[in-house]
Amino acid sequence: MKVALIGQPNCGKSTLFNSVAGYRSATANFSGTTVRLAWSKVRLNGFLFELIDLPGIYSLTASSPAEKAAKQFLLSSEVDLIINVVDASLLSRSLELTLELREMGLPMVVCLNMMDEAQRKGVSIDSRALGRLLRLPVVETIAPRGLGVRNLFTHVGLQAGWKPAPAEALRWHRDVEEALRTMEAELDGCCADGRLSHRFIAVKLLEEDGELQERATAAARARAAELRGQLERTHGRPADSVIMSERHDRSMDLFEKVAVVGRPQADFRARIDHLLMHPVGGYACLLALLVAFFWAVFGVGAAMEDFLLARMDAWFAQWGAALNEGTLGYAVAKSLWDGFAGGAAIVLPYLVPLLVGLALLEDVGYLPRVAYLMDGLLHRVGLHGTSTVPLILGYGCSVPACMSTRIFASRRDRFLACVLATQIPCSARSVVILALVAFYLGPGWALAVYGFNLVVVVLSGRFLTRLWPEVSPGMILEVPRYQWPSATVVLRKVWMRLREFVKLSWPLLIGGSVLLGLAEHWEWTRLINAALSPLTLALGLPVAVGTTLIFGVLRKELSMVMLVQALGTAEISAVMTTVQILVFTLFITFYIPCVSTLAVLVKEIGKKLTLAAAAYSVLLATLIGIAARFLLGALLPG
Amino acid sequence: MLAQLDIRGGEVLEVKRAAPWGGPILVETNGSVVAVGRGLARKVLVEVLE
Repeated sequence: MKVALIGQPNCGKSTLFNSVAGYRSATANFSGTTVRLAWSKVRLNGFLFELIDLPGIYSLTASSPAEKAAKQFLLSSEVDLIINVVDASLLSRSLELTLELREMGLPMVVCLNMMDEAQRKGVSIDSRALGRLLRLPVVETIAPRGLGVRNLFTHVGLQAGWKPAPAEALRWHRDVEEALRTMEAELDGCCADGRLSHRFIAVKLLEEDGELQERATAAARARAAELRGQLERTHGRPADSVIMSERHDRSMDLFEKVAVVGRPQADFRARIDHLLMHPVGGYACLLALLVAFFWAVFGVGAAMEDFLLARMDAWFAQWGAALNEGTLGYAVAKSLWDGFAGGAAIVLPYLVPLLVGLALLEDVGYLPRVAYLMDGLLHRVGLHGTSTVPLILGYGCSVPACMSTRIFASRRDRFLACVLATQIPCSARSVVILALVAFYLGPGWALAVYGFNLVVVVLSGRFLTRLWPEVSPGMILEVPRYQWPSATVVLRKVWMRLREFVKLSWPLLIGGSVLLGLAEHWEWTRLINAALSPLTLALGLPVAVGTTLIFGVLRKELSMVMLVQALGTAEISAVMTTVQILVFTLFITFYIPCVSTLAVLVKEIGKKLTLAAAAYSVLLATLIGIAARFLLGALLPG
Repeated sequence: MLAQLDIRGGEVLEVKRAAPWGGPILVETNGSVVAVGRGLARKVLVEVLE
């Protein structure tokens, strides 16, 4: 049985999903969409469910790609039952989606989540009365604590196959209801797909919904246009707006019947916001938080790197002694080990704390606050506050950052946010910055690299908005309550990203390392390095570095690990000057995003724009590298 | 989009705070808090209640 979880953003769907889904759950691309939906098989109360977590939507009137994907999934595939997750503390608003979903006529259970939040807000809800009025099972849950979840799935099992019956309480005002009935009658005998109710199709036709209009017959479309005209004349506004207020009225009605609003309990979280969104304090906190975050990641990472590198070297010295240096066997064994050790001792120590920290910030609900604080500043760059979300996610990995741009309706905003997000140093590039610059030159330099990167991103934004000017519609972003991060959700997010590293990048790292080892053994590297020497010479880097730049296109951490191998020493500061280390890092940070990011970019913004973005990044990286070489060279001795 | 977040005709809105540098306005309606860009917020017609 396929069960779809659907609800408005931040209603706790994913927490619910994670509380029942096993660790075997996967994200999958469903046909026709590029949005990843999480799904998992769950065995509960003797039933086997296939649970699908759809992206949060406010209504079925789709505007952004994420909303379109959720809607398409509901319309086209064989969903057997809908669990409508509702944030009980925002009941009146959430009911509008409930009513719209109910119209579809699919078996449905309402999950009244976050009951504790509602109580804190002084809202007490009679869920039985709500169930009676909606004629649907309504189950109270507190997902983070797992309360009511088993009960919810009992009802899911019982409700399977039962379509919602018509409900008296949900009838619309007479003239609208009449128009709707006429439309429904028109649909008899045609357009029946047996799954969606006639009422739903009729409503959507009156709302001028593109997708369902395509499916309807010409006669039905003509009739819908006629009825729409009637409604518009009597109400003096567009038909879809009339229908929207019908739903709104019904929701308010239901809310008044089932909920009593009392005095809210004092909420300490309001006071936190008072500080974190303060016009001065907010920025100070943001800055302090980012610096603390950096120090924590670097502190943990550097300590682990020191320890692990020494351990790995000792191991190889012990085991590698059996092989003779200079033989093919030695070259293979050494490079295999270097690739493995690079992943374990250089990448993981920085990657893990970085991912944990980002997942925490995301889960607590801090990102929308950052978006709020940064909106004003970002407007000067031609973006708006919502784009801080992809930018911050970019510090983790460019792939989800680019995917998150789907929340923008405008193509131009998506392109800008994608290009800028890929210029933010992702965790792989952070590994280079931390393991190279911070480790050898000191954390101050690393902070400077991050700061400089931000300046470039801002200037880049300015430059690109000049090329593609458009009035940005401005930001509309819900600011959810803070919540305690749930350990399962955070761990799952970290694991998802780590799994990608362990399964994909680490083998690539080891394979790349062996390739480089062999190339060195047979002295092919000289050819590659010679071919790249115009670039390396222009940047003032050792010629041996050339090959590592090529490998960086696969994965940016490869460059770092290979650098150790290409230079033949882990003591990089002995062979590269401060300026060279900085130029190398800056070039790595800005030039072409890695292969997986390029693949996502092609999906999100198309081939042409991806190519443009890549070319732009190489040009930018080279210019910055050359400028850094001469400027820093003049400022720094050696 | 605004209507979906309960910012529409006849709704009571409370402006909670405004971000500096021409940033967004934080508006509360029916218990949910939404940040609305300044340009957009300027176009919302309101009647002052208190």
